[in-house]
Amino acid sequence: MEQIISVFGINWKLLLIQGVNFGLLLFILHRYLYKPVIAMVDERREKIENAIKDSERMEVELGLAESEKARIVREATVKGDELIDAAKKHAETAEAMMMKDAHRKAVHLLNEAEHRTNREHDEMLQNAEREVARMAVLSAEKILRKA
Amino acid sequence: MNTHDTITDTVARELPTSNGIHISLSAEQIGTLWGIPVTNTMLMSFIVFALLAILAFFVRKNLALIPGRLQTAVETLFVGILDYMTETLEDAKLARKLFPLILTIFLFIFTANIIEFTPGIGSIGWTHGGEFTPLLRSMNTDLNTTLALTIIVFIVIEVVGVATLGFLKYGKKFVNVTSFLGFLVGIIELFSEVARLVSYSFRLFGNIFAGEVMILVIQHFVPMVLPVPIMLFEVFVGFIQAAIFALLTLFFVKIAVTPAH
Repeated sequence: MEQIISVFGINWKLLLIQGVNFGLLLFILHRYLYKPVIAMVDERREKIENAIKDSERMEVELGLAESEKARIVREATVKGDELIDAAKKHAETAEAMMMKDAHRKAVHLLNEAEHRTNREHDEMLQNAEREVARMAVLSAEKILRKA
Repeated sequence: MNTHDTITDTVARELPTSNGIHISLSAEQIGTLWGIPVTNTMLMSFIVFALLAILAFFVRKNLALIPGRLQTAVETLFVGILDYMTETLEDAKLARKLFPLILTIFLFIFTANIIEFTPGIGSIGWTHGGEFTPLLRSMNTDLNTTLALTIIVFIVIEVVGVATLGFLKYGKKFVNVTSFLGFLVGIIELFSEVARLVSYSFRLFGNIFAGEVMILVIQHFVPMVLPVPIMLFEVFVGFIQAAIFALLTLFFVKIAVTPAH
């Protein structure tokens, strides 16, 4: 044993120094190399995980938005159709009313015109009768004077 | 001291010392600081420390949510190791706790092994009394380094085992009095547990040291070209040994936290 120790130059001081040297290296590498690198890898992994989760959530949200959009478009179409129908109906009734109105007015005007014509005709007849009567009286006077 | 010299001499004599190859099993002492011997492998371990600290500094400085090239490489390595550990231990929390240790073991040994053939390491030094003392020497060719790492790993394995299973349940693995066979198995377990201290440290030391010796010998006979593929192979061995050290730690932790049946 002694021989082995001396042949290989084993010395507890050297052993201790090598041990301390290794321990110090372990400490430094752990503190300044392994920890930051592993932390960085973990951080990146977490970020990627989050990004994937986010993108999955976005996809779901996109699907929801898409269906919402379809629903809104469908509703708008239905509403628009309804509006057009209502407008058409309204226009039709308005047209009919206007026609009726115009018809009524026309009939009224016609009637009035007829009335007026009749009245004027009567007046004219009366005037003519009066004139004829006057003329007759005048001519009778003339005859009587001559006689 | 005497035995040391004779054995080193024997080892050296078996190799062609006359042609200038000098091999020492122990690291060379290059000085003394506050009564502590300073060896060339110790200097080397400080250099490895500095290199890894610089790497940590650069990665941390450029750390961003959108990663650059270096960050991507580092992250891929870290996450790969962490995932593998979680899979092996079947416990994400424990894997996260042990991750720094396993990774530091790997990076420390691996960095030391890949810079082992950097020009200057082992060749710059001084001759002192006919003996060449290199200023730097590959870190894992010193049993002090590998043994220190092994002791740390050994303690961690035992502590994690006790902390996970509880002292009594963990102790039952080694002291089992329910049956004679169980008792024997417990003793064997205990021995293999302690034997790890030796097998761990000598595996790493032996592999890297043998590689260095092989290169030295080949360089001696064929100084050009041939050492290059061998060096390449040794760098590969260095990677494998670093991985084995880290992986075995992981597996022994797994064994330690698995209750005995």
